[in-house]
Amino acid sequence: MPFNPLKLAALLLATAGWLGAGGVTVTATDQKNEAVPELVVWLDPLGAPVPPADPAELAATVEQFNEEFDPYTIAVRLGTKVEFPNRDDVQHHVYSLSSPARFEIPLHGGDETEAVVMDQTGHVPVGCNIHDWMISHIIVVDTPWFGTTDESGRLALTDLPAGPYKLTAWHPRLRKTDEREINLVAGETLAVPVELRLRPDRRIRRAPTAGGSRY
Amino acid sequence: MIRFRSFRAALLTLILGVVAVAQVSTYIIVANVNRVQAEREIETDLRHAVSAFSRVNEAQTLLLASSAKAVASDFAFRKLFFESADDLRTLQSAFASASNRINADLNAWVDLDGQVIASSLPVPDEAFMDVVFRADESEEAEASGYCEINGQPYSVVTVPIRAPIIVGWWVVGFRIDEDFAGELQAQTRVEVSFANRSGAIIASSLPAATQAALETNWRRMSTGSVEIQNLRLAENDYKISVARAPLEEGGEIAIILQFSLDEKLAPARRLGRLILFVSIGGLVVATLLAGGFARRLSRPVQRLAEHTRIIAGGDYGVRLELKRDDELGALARAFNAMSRGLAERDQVRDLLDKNVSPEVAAQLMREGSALGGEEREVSVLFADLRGFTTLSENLPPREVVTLLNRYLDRMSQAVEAEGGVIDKFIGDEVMALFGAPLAGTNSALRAIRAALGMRTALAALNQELATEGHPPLAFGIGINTAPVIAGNIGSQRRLNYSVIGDGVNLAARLQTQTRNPAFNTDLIISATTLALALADGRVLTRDLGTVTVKGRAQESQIYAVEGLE
Repeated sequence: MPFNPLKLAALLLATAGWLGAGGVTVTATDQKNEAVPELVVWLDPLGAPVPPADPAELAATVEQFNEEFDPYTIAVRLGTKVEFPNRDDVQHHVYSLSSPARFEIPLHGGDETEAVVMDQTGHVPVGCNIHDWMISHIIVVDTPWFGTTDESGRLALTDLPAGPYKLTAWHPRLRKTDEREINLVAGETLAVPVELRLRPDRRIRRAPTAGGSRY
Repeated sequence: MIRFRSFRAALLTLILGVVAVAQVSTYIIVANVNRVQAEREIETDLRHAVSAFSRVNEAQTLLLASSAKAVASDFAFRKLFFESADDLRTLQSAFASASNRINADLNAWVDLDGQVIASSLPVPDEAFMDVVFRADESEEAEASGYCEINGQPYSVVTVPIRAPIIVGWWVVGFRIDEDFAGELQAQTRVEVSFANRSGAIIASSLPAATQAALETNWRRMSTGSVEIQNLRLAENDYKISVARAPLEEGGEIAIILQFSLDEKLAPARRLGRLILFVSIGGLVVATLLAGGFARRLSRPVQRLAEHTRIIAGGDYGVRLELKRDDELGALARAFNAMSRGLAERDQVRDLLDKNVSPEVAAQLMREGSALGGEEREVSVLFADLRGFTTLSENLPPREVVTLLNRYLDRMSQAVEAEGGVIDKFIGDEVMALFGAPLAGTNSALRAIRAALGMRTALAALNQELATEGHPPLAFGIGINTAPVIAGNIGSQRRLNYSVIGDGVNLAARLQTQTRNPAFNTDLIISATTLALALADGRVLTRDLGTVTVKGRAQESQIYAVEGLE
């Protein structure tokens, strides 16, 4: 078996991670000091390689339910196969015209589930051609450390190897991504308050006569 | 101050003046109120028009935006936006089609950075940067504004192109042109004109001539605080209000709203004319009424004046007939009462004249009964008729009185001819005064002359009596001049002007002396009288010596008068 320095490095990193893992807790607030949920946050290691992904983990789901996409924002790892199951009685026409993933799932009904493999990083806004208000933002990242904030604007990431990271936050109402460098210390959880300046929510209003019973 | 020669003219002028002043002020007030009202209405209309402009513009913009959004939601259109960079020709043809769909005059695609990707009209790349930025900042992701291309203003609106997030902007617009002005005018009834950045009128609902006048004039109008201004265009007064809208590329367009004052004032003017007609009619009616009234008032006044002249002429018998119950009627009644009073007084005066001498009567009229009580030198003449008693016995009483009156009348005339005053008739005796009640000169000589006149008159009467078959009459006259007391003598109810004193008695006694045949005269005077008469003229006398008369102690020198030289 020839010597593979990459594998060695990965092994070393895994050992180091196991040996000294740290954590980060992000708390997001807006200019009104209100919690920002659905904020996509990911950490890119600085000066260290990204650990390889487990193919089993490379799966995500964006549902069409009650004429909405669920979730509204989602981060997935590069190479993830995103499924778009339709849980509604009505058909949907899911599409994205973005450069990281340009795809179109023409009108499809209830039990059909289509999947798209995200093979480029970036922002993939997904819409439904026949329901203008339906929108979902898929952020494709090349790191295993990512997530979205909960209702209280919090996100906790654990078991990260100590070291410097670039923390990036993304939200549809942000003009630009919020980026900062942090340093994680083994055995400690770093609290990162993220104060954001959100722009007006410009989502198209849902048509009041359109189906959905739980608007 | 005007002086009126007739009361009627004055009254007429007064009434008409009052009516005219009332009507003219009414007219002026109404005209003024109407004008103020019209101006207020115009100001309200103009304000409404300004907001109407905004509304119409907004509605138009909204419509355009809605259409644009509908078209922008087209999937093929969305896809095209992503593929435009690769296929410009497809883009341009799709672009033309999209423009057609929404009926836009202006149509441009702008990227997220505000750079124009494509435009139906030649515009700079950053022409819509601001409006896109405003849209990007707004919740609705929409913004509108104005821009000017080749001097033509457009109302523009920008809508997002979503796929499904905003990936670009679509700027659409409509021309602010004659059609738009016409539509606004139809909605607001206010004339609308638009001026571009350089102040040129580019669209207007006004007729061409007025539009040209507006173009040269409106720039002179002060801007700012004065909201509504007056401007005279093509011989028509306009109220003008200018609203301004900023242009995307800087500068501004002006929305000039005009309201024709003449048009607005037309109903008020019609009302004014009507009031004028009514006023003139009212004035005519007032003239007629006032004329009639004045005549009703002045005619009786004229009649009263005429009547006054008649009364002044001495005719108290005329009565003024005015059948009126008012003050003039009362005046007429008072006049008639006055006429009656004057007539009565005249009668009294007449009677007075007959009963007393005219001089005494006049003095009584003048001075009332307060006459007399003064000492005067008076020549008193007594004339007694002789043989009358015998004559009267042979005549019926009526003829006696007639004859006596004839005699007394002649004697009175002779006395009055010399300025004497009949004091009284005592039966057939005459008592006359010279020098009273009016003091006169040479009373003695006048008394003698009067006596001689009486002698002549008696001779004439006797001749008449002879022809009538009556025997002749004779008299005897005595004259004395002495200071006596003259005055109204009598009781409270009845007064007689007379003289009393010793001198009077002497005169009466001298008269009785004429009965003495030895003296052979019918006219005897006292020495005093002669002396006084001689001072004034020449008297031929015969000395009768002295006599002692009854009631007088000393003797009196008496003379018979033969004649005058």
